[in-house]
Amino acid sequence: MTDSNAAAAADRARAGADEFSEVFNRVKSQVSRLIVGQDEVIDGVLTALMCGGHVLLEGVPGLGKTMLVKSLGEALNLNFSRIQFTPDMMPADIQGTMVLTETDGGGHELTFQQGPLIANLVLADEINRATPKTQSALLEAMQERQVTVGRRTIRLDEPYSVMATQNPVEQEGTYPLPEAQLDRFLFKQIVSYPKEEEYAAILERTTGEQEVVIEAVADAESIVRLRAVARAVAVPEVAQRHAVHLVMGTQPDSDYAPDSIGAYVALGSSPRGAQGLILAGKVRALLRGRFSVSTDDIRAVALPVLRHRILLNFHAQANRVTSDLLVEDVLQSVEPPHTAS
Amino acid sequence: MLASPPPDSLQGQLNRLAALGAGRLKRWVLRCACDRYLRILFPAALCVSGAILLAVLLDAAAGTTLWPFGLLLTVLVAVALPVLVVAACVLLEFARHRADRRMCLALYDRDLGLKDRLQAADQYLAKAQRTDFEEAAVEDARGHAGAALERKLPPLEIRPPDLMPPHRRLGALAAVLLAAALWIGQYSASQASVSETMVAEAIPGDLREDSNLTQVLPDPLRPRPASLAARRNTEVEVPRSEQGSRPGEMETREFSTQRQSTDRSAAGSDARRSNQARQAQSGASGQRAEQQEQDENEPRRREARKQPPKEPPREQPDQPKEAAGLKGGKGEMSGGRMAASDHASAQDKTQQPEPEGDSDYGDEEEDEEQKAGSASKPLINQRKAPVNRSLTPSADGGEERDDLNGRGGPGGLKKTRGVAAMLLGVPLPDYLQGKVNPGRMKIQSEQGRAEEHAADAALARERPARDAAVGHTLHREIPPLSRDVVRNYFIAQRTNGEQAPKENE
Repeated sequence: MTDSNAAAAADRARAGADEFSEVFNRVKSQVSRLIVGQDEVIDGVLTALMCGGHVLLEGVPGLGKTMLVKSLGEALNLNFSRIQFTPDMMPADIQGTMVLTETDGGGHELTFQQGPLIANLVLADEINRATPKTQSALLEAMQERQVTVGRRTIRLDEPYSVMATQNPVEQEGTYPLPEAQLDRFLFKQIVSYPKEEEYAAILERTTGEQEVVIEAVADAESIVRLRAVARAVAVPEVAQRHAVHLVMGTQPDSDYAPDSIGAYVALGSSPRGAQGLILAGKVRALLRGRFSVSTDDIRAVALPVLRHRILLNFHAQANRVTSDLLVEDVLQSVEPPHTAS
Repeated sequence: MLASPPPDSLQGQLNRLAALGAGRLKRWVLRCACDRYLRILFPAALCVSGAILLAVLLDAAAGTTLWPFGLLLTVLVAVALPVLVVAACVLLEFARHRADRRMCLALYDRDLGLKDRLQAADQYLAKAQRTDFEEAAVEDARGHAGAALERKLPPLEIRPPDLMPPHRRLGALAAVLLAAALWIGQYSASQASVSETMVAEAIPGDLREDSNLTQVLPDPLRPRPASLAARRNTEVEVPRSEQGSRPGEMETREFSTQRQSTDRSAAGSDARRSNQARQAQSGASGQRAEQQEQDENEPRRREARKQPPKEPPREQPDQPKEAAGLKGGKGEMSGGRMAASDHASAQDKTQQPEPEGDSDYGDEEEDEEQKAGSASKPLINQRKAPVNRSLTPSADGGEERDDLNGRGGPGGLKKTRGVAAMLLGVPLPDYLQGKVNPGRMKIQSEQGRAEEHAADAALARERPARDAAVGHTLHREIPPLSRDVVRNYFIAQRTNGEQAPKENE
């Protein structure tokens, strides 16, 4: 490659990175108009959206989980739908079903009535209240980006992202998500209580006269374009190896696993965890003005990517060891390649 | 041959950074190796000092010359040998280390906070076709590489050598051992010189030169050529040729003694080898081989018969001679022979005593074992007949013997090996200690007459409405099957405080 070609290629990459950062920050500022604080959660949700992944938001009621996703849909001008999961909800309620409709001539015919799953941005509120049967209906949509009802298969439009919320407190009458479904979420974000200084802003925005209006600052096309930009970010060997080592560090009986993993983990992360680390690391590198993923990017996104992919055993639950502690332990024990002394 | 890149290009800058990083890394490796192997310095010194002390002790006890060095050389060896070992280990570690190029660049990435830019650029530069973002990453790294070359990085941090208190204690112990060795060496040397002086003064001058007397004297009292020669100058004039020949004679004599012992041990080892070969055979083939071996050993036996027979152990005429007991007392399970076992009583009646000449190599072994104080044949020294190793009393109601316990003799100590020693000599009843299993719960119902009680059931309409909180209600109950498991688990965790076993084990 000649110098001019190289310079042109670098300029193209630089332009794509700049556009990415600009759109990302614009959407974030719009969402932040309604959601006070929670920067990490907003970054995680937007990162997952730019990666083409899904997000599981966990937090006690009243912290703005549903509002966050709703405002995100408004800021991106995406086709947004919300499903409130209940125990009696059936797969046909979210996928759609064939209904008998009356035609103009007085006859009847079976037509497909699509469910709320067919949208760009789906808010699956309190997903753990649905039965496993209904939860499993989400699997095909989340992984294959399609919905099959009877003999009909519907391709879902891009961008497609499922933002699910669940409440960790009300365990009565809930159905914990199966591991196969948890693995399909790119991030699991923990929504925590706001800080003291954030309460004033929350009260001011929600109890005042003026209603906050979210402007649409991006659309589906721009999101799809920016996704391609994010996927084009270069990944050096050192970052790739570090992601693999971190994922293997969560697996019991692995060479990279610390002792705590062997004692408290029944099932470690799958290769999807490594995919998530790399994808999220690419977005993070772009946002920080770099064109190549570093090991710091991988380590920074390790907690939200890996925390829900670790299945704890009975001893961990008895000793109150959380997956967050275990991921921190893995991060401490697995050092980046070439710098491990 | 590839042309080297210009120094101002990114590739040239990365090469220079890699070379600088390699230098830093090598210095770090050297210091790490020193740190690591300094920990074995004191244990090595302890080993060397211990070995010197052992050699000196053996010298003092047996009069040998295992440690012939003097004071200065001993201290030099004790100090220099561990240092040499540590230095060799450090150099070996240093020579084995190969500095990876990416690792060298990673040092700069880490220390300057470059977020792996140099490593990534080095990787992308090696590719023929680069994507847009790889080109951008290379361009991005260019400025950082130039800045990194201008920075002078401090050497890599390393902890100071961690000489733990146990290591220092080992060093002190090594010094103590060395001092003890030196003192013992000096003390034994002074003792030897004192006794030598006493002997030299006690023996008349003309007898001192007698070579026969010199050979008769024990080794510590034997006059040494150097010291005697010094005295000879003052007392008796001896021809120079005679002085020179005396040590030679002693050496020749020692050599001949060593050679005799070597021949004897060689013969013994040959006998042991043939014995092992016989043990490898078994059954009928073993018997055939023994017969063949007996034929082969016939000339040796004849030779042995020509020699005056050794004095046999005195035996009481009323006790039968048990050849199997004598042979099997060693507990050998040789292929052709029956070992000492409960079959010995059967052999009493059938087996004839072996001729003495038949045990040409066995005699040597028996002598060795007797010298070594082996417990395999305890009755030979007591001049008693070999014991009966049968565990059961004889059927003909013979006299009771206290050695009928299968242990190879009276008393509780085991004196034999083999099957007989593995059997219990004292019959014990089957007895198990412990708590008797309570078994299943038994319910006994007793016949009884039912008593009448007055029913005082309240009517539903008379029940008042609830006026208080229901209280805390439990969530889902644990299934009965796992209730005990969970209960036991938490009880064990809280009482013992031990780590519960892994779930997947």
